[in-house]
Amino acid sequence: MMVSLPAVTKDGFRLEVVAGAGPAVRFSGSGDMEAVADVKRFLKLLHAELSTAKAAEVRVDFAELYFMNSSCLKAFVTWVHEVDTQGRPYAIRFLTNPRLHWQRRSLATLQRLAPKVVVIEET
Amino acid sequence: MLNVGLPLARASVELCFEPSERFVAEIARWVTDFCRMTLEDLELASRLHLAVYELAENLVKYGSGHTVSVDFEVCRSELGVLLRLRTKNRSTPERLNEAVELLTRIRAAEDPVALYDRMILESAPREDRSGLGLARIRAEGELELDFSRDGDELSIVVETRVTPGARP
Repeated sequence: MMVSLPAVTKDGFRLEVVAGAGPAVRFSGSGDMEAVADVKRFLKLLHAELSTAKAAEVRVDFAELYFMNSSCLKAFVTWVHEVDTQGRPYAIRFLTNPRLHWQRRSLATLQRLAPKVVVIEET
Repeated sequence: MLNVGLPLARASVELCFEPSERFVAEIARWVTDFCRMTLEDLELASRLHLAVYELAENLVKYGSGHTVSVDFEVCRSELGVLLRLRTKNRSTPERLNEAVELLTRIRAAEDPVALYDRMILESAPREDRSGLGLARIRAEGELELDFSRDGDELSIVVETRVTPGARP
């Protein structure tokens, strides 16, 4: 399946769907206070599409996401928890950049929250 | 606060600014660059970046009055290197009471990661404020946290000691 969500571009931050074999999205730039509302909205729509399509997995590319504040991280917490506890779960595969040290720490937090849902893969 | 021992060298920068969100990213970048130049440790710089970002955002969200401040200090001694971040802001009594309650929990936690995981789980189904930023500093940043309140002013101190040849 392909996800069909409009890209969001703000100053220094971008959310977009990535074309490919399976559902995939990319977050790049810096997820700060201004990005929070867009991240929440994007993840809600994404979850609705993936649930309707009965997707088995979604890839989330963080390779160029330089930082994410706790409010944006909270949006991911809510999404991961919803996938884990409601309806038919799918895997969320985060593609990470090992040079961006914060990613390992923050995504480990999400993995502890839902170990059966969150998969972390270094690019 | 951590004991620094007898200081051999000290470098510090203090930034005072109006509580506006347009300053947050820049302040986090300045402090992180300063840390990177002083210590040349990318992992530690990343942890400090997280801390200063969350603290600066807190200042902007909850600070009142015209000025808030971030003070960053690197102190070398025979015990190693001490890094200390201090923020100061004024706020309403309600906000300060909430902050003090949260900071007391975070400071007292024997296992900061366990506390953070509990807070993550509690906040997961909610849409409101998470309060995760300060807990994240101790859990993900692996930094010590202390605070004090003087009237309507809150001071938060985040610090770590780097022992030569050892990971902090």
